[in-house]
Amino acid sequence: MRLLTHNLMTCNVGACQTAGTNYPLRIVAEEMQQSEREFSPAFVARMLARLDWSGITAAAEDLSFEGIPAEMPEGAADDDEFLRKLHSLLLEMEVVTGSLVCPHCERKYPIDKTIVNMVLREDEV
Amino acid sequence: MAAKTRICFAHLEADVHLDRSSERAQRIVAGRAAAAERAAAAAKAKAEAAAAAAAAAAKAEAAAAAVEAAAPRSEELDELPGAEVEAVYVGDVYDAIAAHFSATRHSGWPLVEAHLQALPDGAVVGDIGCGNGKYMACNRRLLMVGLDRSAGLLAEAAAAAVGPTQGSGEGLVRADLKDLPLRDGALDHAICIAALHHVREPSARRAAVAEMLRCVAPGGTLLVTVWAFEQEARTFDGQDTFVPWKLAPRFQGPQHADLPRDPTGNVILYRYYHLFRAGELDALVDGLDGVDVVESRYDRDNWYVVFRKAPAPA
Repeated sequence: MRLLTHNLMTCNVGACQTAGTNYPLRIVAEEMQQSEREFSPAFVARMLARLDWSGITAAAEDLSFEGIPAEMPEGAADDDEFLRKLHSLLLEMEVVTGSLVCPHCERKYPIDKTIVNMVLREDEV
Repeated sequence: MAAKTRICFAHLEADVHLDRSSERAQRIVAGRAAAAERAAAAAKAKAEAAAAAAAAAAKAEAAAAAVEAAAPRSEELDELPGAEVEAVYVGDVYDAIAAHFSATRHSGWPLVEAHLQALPDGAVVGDIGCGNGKYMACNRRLLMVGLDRSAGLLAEAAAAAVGPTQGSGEGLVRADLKDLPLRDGALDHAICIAALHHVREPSARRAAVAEMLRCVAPGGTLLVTVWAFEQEARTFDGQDTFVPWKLAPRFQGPQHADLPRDPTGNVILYRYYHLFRAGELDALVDGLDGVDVVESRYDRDNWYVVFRKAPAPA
């Protein structure tokens, strides 16, 4: 799971959805991998519209990834250095083993061989 | 002396004659015996072959009967809760057949590939029911997230991601398409290829489309394809049916040891399908505000519909 995916994900437990506290999921990374990928500023700028900034800062904090500002900077779409940083965090880093943890109910979603398991038991839905 | 000699000669001649005739007789007898032996052997072989064929036929018939007996009845669909039908006759089956299924599903569907090729660079796209991930690397300029209920198929998708022309996209997520663990409007676009027809309850199919659209941002599209009831080569008794998968011996594991096999050794596993009639897929968004059908067609035994969420007011 790359961190762009993390930015899109919420806890699925019914009560957490109702409470609106199912995001962002905490990342507990046991094994990470980083793969270099071609950087396209336009590509990353296009992605900004889909991102939730609180999820980005939370992920950076969980992984001790430095250089991510608390707020999305003004003119982010034209800031190549910033976009490169984001590219590296969201598209190059991948959690291989670990888990995602709901900030509300503490439900743990295991990550194994890069695949995160979000399927709930019947009584959790 | 001379007479005696002659007699002797006659005797000898007779002996010779006798010898000759007995030789011939022996040959004839031997020949007849051999022929009889051959005939007996042939008859025996024929009888054995017939017996073997009968035994094989009986065995095949027994195997077919065992396979038949193990096949689920459509009445079961009414007795089991929808979630259980999906767990037993969709999730478990795909987990069991993942490697075999994946080996037969290399190439994408041209219509779906064209749809993905036409999406804008850098778009975040969810492949809901991504299976073995065959569409994940179809357009490398998209940011693909794959979701599927089957851990087996996701493992195939992750394995396929090794290599320069493949990719697991931005993430593979095990999730049920009726309960997507995604923020509202998290995706620019989504596709759901050959997955919605595995949802049992009509209300759940409607809810699933609404759930997928919840995750699509305003102005985004959702492409859904499902099996059609109206197929060119096949007819079905009803819209809710079990479709067999013949799991070849080389893909069978210890968990299949006790299952009946057909005469060629395949284990038959059954997947639940709801076969959509014309217009049925389009109608799943009836009553949903701000959702339009922008494309609707039939292609290769499937219904293919593109929904669009209205853009956010300016």
